[in-house]
Amino acid sequence: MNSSSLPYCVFVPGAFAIPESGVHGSEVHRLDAEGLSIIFSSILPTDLRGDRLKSAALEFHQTVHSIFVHTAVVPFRFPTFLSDSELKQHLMDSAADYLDFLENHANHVQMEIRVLPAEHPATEAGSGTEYMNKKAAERRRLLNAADKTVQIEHARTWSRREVRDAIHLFALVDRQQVNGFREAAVNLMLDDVKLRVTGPWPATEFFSPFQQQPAGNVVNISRGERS
Amino acid sequence: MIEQSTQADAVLGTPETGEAEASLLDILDHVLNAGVVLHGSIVISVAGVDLIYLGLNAVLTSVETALRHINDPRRFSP
Repeated sequence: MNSSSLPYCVFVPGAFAIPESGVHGSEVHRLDAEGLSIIFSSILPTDLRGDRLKSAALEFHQTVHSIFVHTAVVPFRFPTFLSDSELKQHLMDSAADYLDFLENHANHVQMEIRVLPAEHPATEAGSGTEYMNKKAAERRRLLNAADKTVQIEHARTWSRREVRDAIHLFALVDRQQVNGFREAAVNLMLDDVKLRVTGPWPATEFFSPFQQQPAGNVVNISRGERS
Repeated sequence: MIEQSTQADAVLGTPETGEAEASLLDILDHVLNAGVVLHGSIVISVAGVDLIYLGLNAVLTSVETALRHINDPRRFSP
């Protein structure tokens, strides 16, 4: 392995092939340990400069996706660079958490729904009070719509995140239920809001093994030499 | 009003369509904002400007994600 590795994702190995090439046509390697696999490419951080970044991000996604179509994965955030020893040490240290998640969610994917205002928030309000009232009314509409949306069948559980001018809903769904979930979302009759449905994605929103542990107890990888 | 987008649209769709473009943004949002975050170094460049994070437990992220981590400091990933 090269000393600069770009890891794609962690998964439980199965009867499927890993992609031959990844970001910028680089060879994809596989590291196996503790019943898990990590695929990665030996790439220098400087290879992702400038105009190549967008294509690299898409190729990263496609590489992860080529595994995700077969089984559950935990992707790394792009772009993460680790040394060989860091990568192996991470897999060894975190194997129990990865295995727990990947085995429990082997057949689950993440569907996402963004609840957005039907129209862009009005900013031409005459006064500050009027503007705030409009914002409050809009937020109530979004919250009401989100409450109705999470009644969709086919979802095992939901996670919700409120952001500026929108509410993001994350549903954990069985792979076989994706079409049914999407159809149910499309058939929702909600006034004054817009729903944007995407997925299936790896169930990253539901992977938080360290939430239950003390704040300082996180994976700590020694820092490698970087140029 | 419902909009749909799938990963397949983005991977296989034509970039000329608005839907594929929207899916492209979804994908970029995911690869940059979802996934395991480790201590280590992150190097990224945007529009020719290199942004380098070395030896930090932080990554290039959206404000939304950053706020999420601030609100829940124990959160490690994704």
